[in-house]
Amino acid sequence: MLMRGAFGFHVGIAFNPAKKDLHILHLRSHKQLAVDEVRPQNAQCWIGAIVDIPGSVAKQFVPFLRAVAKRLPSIPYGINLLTGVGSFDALGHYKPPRGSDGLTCATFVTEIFAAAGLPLIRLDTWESDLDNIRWGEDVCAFLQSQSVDEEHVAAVRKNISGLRVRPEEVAASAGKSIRDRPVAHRDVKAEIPAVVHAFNLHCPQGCAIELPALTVADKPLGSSIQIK
Amino acid sequence: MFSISDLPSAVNGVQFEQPVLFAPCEQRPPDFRYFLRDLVTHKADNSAAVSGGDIYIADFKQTRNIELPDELSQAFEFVSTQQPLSPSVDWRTHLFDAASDADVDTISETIDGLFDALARDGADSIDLTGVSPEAIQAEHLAAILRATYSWRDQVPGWTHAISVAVIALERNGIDANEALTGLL
Repeated sequence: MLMRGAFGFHVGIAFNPAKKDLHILHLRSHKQLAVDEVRPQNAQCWIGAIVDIPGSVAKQFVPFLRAVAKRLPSIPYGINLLTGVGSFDALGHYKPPRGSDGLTCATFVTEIFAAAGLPLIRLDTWESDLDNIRWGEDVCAFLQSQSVDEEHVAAVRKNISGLRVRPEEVAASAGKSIRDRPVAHRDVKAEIPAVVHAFNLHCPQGCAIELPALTVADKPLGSSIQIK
Repeated sequence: MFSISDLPSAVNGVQFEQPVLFAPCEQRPPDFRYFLRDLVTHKADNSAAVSGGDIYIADFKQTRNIELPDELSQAFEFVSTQQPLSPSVDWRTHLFDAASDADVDTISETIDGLFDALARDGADSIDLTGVSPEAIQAEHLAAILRATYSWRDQVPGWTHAISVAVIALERNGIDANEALTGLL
């Protein structure tokens, strides 16, 4: 599922938890992996792609998603593309490799699929872009505004390199046939105009539907509580 | 400030397998999950007797002190349910029952039990060395293999189990190359 986000687009994985309606598993923000119900009354404007996987494989992948969604590991928001590889130990446990500063909404999706043996993209083909430098700086500014600890922000700032997997790139790769995946960056980029066009067609700018703000908890810990 | 080790594991005289936290919907502050992350292991399926909120399995394995914002003081409470929360199904139950259903919900029980076993007992506890095509449910085995794919080097018998899965799937009329896409 692709929708508008803090840095352009936002992406997550739509699925059905057991005996429930459609939900989305997504990294909303720093340490905010969430499962949100997709309901008409609070529906963000979004488009979705049905990922081409055989039915026999879907019966394996959905339980995996459900298990991750049940456990909701705490995942920092970070942009180092290459060191984020292998972040999930296939148990839904987030164990970032050395040097990883976390994941984005987009790399969370790519990592989940990769952990289940269904890689969407070929990361070794990814190319840097100057626009992503500005994005990296915007991410740091956002994390600072949310009172994320300075050490993490500094780590993210060090990883600004111009490399980024964009949410719309994930959406484009997810829409490819299983025969054509994992997709090289050049092939993904060719699909972006169609994805963006489809999104704008369905979700025109200024549409009346309110989009949820992407935030982290904005108050520091510090007060005592009483457990009843 | 409170010590997690002081919190009870029984509420209203009802013993739970694990302590639980109940987060009522109407009292839930924004981003409450951010504060849950240090307190809970995972969210539980609500029992039929509980409504209006979510139940989280509390992680009281370690003694520690923790502070939470004042607005969360009303956000969590222990809850008494009419029936104890059901533990996850052992991951081997359906795997070693060739007649088990292989719908997505039943397979979900297997993977849920698998994750719990791994968290509780570690990778060595997932021993696939003893699986054989005659004695397993092929689709449950395939799901276990996919769920453990990224750390297959640590699972005893994973490579052997792939071979078993190929045979068992084909015997059941399932295209093994397709069902094991990305794992072979």
